[in-house]
Amino acid sequence: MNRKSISSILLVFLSLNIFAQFKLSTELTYIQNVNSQQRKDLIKDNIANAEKCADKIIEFEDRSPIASLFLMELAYSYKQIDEEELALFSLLKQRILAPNDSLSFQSEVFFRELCFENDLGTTETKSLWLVTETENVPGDFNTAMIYLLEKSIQLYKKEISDQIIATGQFLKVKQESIPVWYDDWEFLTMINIKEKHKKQIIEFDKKGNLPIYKSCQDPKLKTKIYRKAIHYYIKNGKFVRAKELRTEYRQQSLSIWDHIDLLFKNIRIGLRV
Amino acid sequence: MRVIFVFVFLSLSFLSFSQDFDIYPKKQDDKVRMPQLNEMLTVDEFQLLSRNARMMDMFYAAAVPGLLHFKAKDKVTAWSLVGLRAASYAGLAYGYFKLNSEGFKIWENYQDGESVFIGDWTVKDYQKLAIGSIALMASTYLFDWIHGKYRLEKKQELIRYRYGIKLQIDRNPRARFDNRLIPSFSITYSF
Repeated sequence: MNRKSISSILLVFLSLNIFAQFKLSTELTYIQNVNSQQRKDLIKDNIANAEKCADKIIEFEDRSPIASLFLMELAYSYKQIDEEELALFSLLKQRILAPNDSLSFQSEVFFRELCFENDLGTTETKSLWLVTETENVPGDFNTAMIYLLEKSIQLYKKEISDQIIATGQFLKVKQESIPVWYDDWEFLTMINIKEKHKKQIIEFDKKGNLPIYKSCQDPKLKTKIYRKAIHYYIKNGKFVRAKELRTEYRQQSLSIWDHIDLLFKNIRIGLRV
Repeated sequence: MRVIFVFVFLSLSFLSFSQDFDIYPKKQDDKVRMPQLNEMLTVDEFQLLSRNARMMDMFYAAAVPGLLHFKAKDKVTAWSLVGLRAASYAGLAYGYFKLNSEGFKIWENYQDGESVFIGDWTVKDYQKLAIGSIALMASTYLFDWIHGKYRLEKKQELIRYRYGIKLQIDRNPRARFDNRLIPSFSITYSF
């Protein structure tokens, strides 16, 4: 083997090393270093990288102790920058997707503290702790992801909506069958329905595939969903879809304010279609 | 004499190369050379790392308000500075034209207590407006330069700190969390 070929082989190895992504253990060591310094600027600077690593954990279905520790450290990071909702979501991710009994023993007080900061009562906190215990979490990774979606949606926190949607996307990429309640929640989030209303609308034991604006039982909330959905479609330039929903919306029992609102929507649709 | 002249010329040329002005030579392939980047580096971080607050920017910042903050990707502060600078230009122009139309100057001296009325405002008020606008203009410029440079350097420090430590940990297995030692054999090849 001549000098040239040795050089090219070593160059390939070197370039692989340079372009490679950091190992999860490297990210874990760094996040521990940053958390221990308690500096918000350092933590905020690292969050985007850490989130990418958390995504990789889901993508590669990593349940190793390092993945568990990393997700818990990420929760500590969020806590330090006063993002308690995201901290709780990250801890739920750890407990459901990468359960670890040793960590569970360590993080109980932290978990309780986060739940209280997220306006959960003692009973709810205890119940959430129990349902996310290792023996209660599904063994299959994809089923565990659906379980995580359910538990995090039930927190009804707007701050974690984007993260839940991102987790849902991973399931969709895997072509996993998504429960109907998740599609309903995603649709309601997309059209910007408030969390307190989502709590009243979403049925976790829903049967059938009827869209949420048809299956909703409360007439007041039903018109709200139609109104917000039409507004969303108009705002995003999907006028044909808005027109379709408008036809169904007209058939509902509308108040005087709904009629006035519909008039404005008609003008906006009429101008474009 | 000729030797002294050559010596002075060489010294000056060395001095001029050490200035922070854009007169030191740039190689032609600076823009062609591909940087070796880490996969995690975002385009924003890359842009921040490749930017510098230089003497030339000091002059540019006088003409372009908020330039250093735009460079440091601190857009809220940068646009606020644009707004404040525009307000200062408007204030100065208004004060100047009002004073000029009545035959007064911005820096004219008046005795204490003397006031010349123009409508509801006195000349002193227009003078205050014009001088205040000049002060605002100067302060936005200085703030942009000093604070913008600080912001840019701070952001660069954070990026360098993050990647520096991670690269160090990544290359040194003993520093990593999973520091399990595996018997191995390594070869070092120096080019």
